Amino acid sequence: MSGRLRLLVGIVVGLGILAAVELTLFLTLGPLRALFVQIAGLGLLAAAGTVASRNLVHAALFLVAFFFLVACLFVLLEAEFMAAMQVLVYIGAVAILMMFGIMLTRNIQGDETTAGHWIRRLPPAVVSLALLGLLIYGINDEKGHQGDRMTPARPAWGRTVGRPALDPASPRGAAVEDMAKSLGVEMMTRWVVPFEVAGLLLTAALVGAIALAMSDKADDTPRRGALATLRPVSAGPGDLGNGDLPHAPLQTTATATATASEPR
Amino acid sequence: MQSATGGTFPTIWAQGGASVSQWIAWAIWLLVVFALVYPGIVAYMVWAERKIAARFQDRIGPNRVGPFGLLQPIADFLKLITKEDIVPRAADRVVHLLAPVLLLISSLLVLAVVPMGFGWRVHVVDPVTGAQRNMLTGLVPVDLPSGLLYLIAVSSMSALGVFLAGWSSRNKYSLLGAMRAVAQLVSYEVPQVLATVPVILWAGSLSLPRIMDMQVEEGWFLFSPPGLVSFGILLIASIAEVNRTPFDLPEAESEIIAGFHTEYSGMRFGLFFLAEYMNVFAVSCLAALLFLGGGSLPFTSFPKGILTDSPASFVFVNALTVGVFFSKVAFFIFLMFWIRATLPRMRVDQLMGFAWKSLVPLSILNLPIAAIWLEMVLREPPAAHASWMFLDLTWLAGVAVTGVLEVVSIWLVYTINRAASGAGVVAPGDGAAIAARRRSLAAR
Repeated sequence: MSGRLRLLVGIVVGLGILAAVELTLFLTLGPLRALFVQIAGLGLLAAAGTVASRNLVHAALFLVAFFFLVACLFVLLEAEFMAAMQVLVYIGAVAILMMFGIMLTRNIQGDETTAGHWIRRLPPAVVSLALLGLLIYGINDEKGHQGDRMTPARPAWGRTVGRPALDPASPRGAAVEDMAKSLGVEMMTRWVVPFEVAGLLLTAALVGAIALAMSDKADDTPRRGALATLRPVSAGPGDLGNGDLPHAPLQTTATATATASEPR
Repeated sequence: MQSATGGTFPTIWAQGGASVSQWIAWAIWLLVVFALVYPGIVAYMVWAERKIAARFQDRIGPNRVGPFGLLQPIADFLKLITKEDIVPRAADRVVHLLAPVLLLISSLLVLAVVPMGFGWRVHVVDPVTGAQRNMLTGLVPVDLPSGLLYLIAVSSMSALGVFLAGWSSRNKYSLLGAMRAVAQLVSYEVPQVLATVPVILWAGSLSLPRIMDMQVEEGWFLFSPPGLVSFGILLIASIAEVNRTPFDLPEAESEIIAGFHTEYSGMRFGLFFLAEYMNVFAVSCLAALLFLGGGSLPFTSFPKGILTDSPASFVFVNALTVGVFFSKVAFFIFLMFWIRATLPRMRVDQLMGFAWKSLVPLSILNLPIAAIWLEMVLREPPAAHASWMFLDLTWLAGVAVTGVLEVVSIWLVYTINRAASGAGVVAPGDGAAIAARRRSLAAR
């Protein structure tokens, strides 16, 4: 009973601390920035978890959390179309693909990670640190837009606090109102060539994947239904050790595994 | 009320907060509808399924707890919540506890953009073209401009929950069930999404209240050959997405015990159950909304005309349309129970072949036909259609052209599939061929 009481007290104290932190953040930064700070902070934690976890599935899960938090940032930027796309493509497709990748390897529980010598980790560390430095420099030293015929001048993003007022009748305002429509129109008019080239590339990748996955043994009888487990009558368990399995008339891979897995 | 076209959640945040009435509306949605009404609907869906399945099998069904067994869901809930929550020793504890929650979140998030009734009527002026019209806001928690895309995105998260449940249990059956489930969910998501594309094309918007409003004006999208085909594809793919018979391979009891939730007990299993039936409810809502016009009546835009700004008309119209909407949803749910009581389970190769060889080509062929329908019939308002006596000739011409094209495309997909599967391959389950093969082996 005392253990349960301690748990209860712990939960209450934890919630109290959380509420105090939330209140402080909201009062000092205002609701929007407080939300941003929390989402960005959690996103950094999730990214660190992705790098640090030893189990592959855990790493993938942290990555999913990170993708989701990026989608939250898109919502804060009033781009809920991009947020939906982020969830659809990265969580709905890329994360599932990673899970499939883990499933199809021998290391199905994902906990035998290959920890090599530290020298082997040096090049990726250098590359990622350099990239981080580049990004920090690029974002920090952004000068803003000087203004031209198409777009008015605006200050650097680093010094932008609030959203500039948008006229709903302007193309930008319309894009915020219904981003899917503006994006679709742009893709079918101004960016139609890159769009089609990307489509062609994806089709080529698709055809390539099918070509890789299809077996070239056209004369091999497809294994279907009852035929898959059918064994030649003469073939006994002793055939397995002879090493002449490929020459047996109907001993396809499935037959061999079926024979091998039979209890003797 | 004023949040008609772009009064979305993020915009309200950025422009200095929502009004008090908006906050109250959100609180009611969250605390009453999502926390009480939807779980209640799920509980009585389970009861209805047991009763209906019993009738199909010439039994009586639950009738001991309360009148007609009406208190059975409550008794089941109490049983589930008092059972011991067992986590296998080898299981990945955190992920094991996280998986059902992820699944439930995904099925609840789907319902956040589904309009249940007509909502308010607003006068909208298009900021770009300047066109004016009356629009329905929809009785909906949030009206996202890209609501349908959001819905597809969050429902695709459920595959992740299923995978994690199977993976974290460290049980061969669970893992097999999870692999089957993920393969099936990913395959059937493609025709499901492609079947919604004609609707997006016709409504010119991804917002679900806008799609509903369009059907109040133009008639249900079901009443067109491409709409009918899309509807069929969506229905089949949705049944597969919610793992119900004949697509319930991921949880086939006789083959892999219960698939991905074998190792779950007590209320954690209850969460899977809740999420599954919530998904059934959500896909029924989606089908009713996309093709049967949500809460609208067929062949008339009736309740929209009497909707004014007065609260009385709001209450009357929304009570009516919510009732109509839920009767449509109830019909779809009954259809799923019916199919479950009638059809046996498919085989894995049939399942995958059906999705990739029949549904996907058919839904792709359906897209240009839907565009023809848009150009022939939907470009002009119904009043501008050519008519002779009481016949809408424009509509009839559209039906004739697209109907022939649909029949040709279905015939094409069917014939090509027959030809491809017949070439040099013994048909599965072909007893004579197997016997002949066995004889030739014995003679060797």
